[in-house]
Amino acid sequence: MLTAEQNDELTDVAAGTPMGELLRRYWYPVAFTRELEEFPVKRTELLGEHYAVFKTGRGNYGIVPEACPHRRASLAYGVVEADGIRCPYHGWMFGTDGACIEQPAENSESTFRDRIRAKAGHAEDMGGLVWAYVGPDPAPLLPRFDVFVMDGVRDIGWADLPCNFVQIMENAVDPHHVEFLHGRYFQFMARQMGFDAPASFAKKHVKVGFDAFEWGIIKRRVVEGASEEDDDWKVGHPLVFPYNMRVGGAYVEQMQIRIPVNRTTTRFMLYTTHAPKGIEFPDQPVIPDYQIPVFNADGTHRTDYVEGQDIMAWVTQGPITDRTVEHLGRSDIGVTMLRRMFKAEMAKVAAGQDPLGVIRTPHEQIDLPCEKNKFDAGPRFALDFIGKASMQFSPQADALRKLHISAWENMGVAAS
Amino acid sequence: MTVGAETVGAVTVGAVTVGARRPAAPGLPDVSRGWFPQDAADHVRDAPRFCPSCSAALPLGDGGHGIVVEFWQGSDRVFACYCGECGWSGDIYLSSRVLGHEPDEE
Repeated sequence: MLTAEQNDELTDVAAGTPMGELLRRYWYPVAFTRELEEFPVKRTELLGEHYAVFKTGRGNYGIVPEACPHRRASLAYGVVEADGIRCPYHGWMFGTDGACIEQPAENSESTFRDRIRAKAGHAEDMGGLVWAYVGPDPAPLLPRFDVFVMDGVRDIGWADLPCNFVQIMENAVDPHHVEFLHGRYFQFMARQMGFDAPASFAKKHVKVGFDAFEWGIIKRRVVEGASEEDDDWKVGHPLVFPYNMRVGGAYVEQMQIRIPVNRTTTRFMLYTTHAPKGIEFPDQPVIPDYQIPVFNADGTHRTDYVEGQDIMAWVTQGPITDRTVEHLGRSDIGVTMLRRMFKAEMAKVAAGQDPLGVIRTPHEQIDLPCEKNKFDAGPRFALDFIGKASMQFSPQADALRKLHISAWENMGVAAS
Repeated sequence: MTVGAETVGAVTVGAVTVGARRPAAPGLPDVSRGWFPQDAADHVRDAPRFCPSCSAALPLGDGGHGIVVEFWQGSDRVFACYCGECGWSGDIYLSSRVLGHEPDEE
């Protein structure tokens, strides 16, 4: 339970607010790489502000506020040229650094353009996504988390959800929900609708634990029949502060990304790299991206798959859940820990320091802890993950199943 | 122990009386704000207002820079606190019962 003021602070992503300023210290995916290959400029919204993200003729990425500094027309309809983007209205041209390069209607001797600058951010490509940083300079480095740069077969599902991102992040430090939302409820829906629910999600939690670490919070669990020697406890998996969760198992490696588009809209992305041992990965010139279903035709939530169940829980809490009337218990200590972490990192930013997870040291790959033997289910978990979660909607779902089965065969591993 | 006029099972800590739970509010829930408005009001009344370490204000409403998250554990109310001034973090319990011996952990 929080006061209304604390709930407002925790959920407000606007520039100038404590949370908004904290969130502007991180990089976010704002486009699929293939989108800017197909058309070189895209309108995007991030943290409640609209931008034009583009790829120049020379192959450099840029991001500028959507409104042209001249007469506020949209640069998302701009003309992309070799070195920047030109406003479609009067032709003002901006480089990727925001410098105004040309003002065609002004006298060629005029220095007016030197007094104009678009408030450009920074944009880079990594792992099939275009990432943007729109906070204060100097920009930190784009963190190269393992899932985005490791070898494997990639796949990106996504949906835009009508709720604040914090209630989604609070789910990332709530292990107990798995056995009910993805266990008991999944089994209930399976009986009602006539399909099989996966057994691996329904195991009872005997113990949960949370450890703060350099990238966020590691979540640990012991499920019935397992012990602290098992991966779920010994390794666990992390909430990657402030807007990601690293999950996986059985060589399905995933980052769940929750991008604060605005205060009441979150882009939910499931970035998965399938990296089983003992197999050669096929080339992927384009990484498939696909929208996952949120609602049924009658407007009710679609809850016959894992993430659909999560989405139902997140969205039905309300656009901004009212934490003044919630009732947390001891089992919600992960949630209290995350709120304290958000507040502590807001304080760091207010004091002029880098918050948790901002990296300025060059690096090749950041390996995150993540269990391999998920829910003590062995390699079978890979097929459950593909078949009963959002990856079932991937255009390459069958190929992914075959990839894992072939890898097991090559390695002489039994499926269960 | 002092029991305030509107409190049940209240505990006096120094000069401050803090309540465990007030009796349920008469009448129906305040549907304009959602369920359990009495618990929300109790939170506003009882949440710690000052850091136990540096005495800076905690709640935003008092001009503080901290956060106080309330959770319930049995009959206790627990306030998980963080002070944005000094960085102190800890839990403050409102208990109506104190045990002399705790059961052994497994």
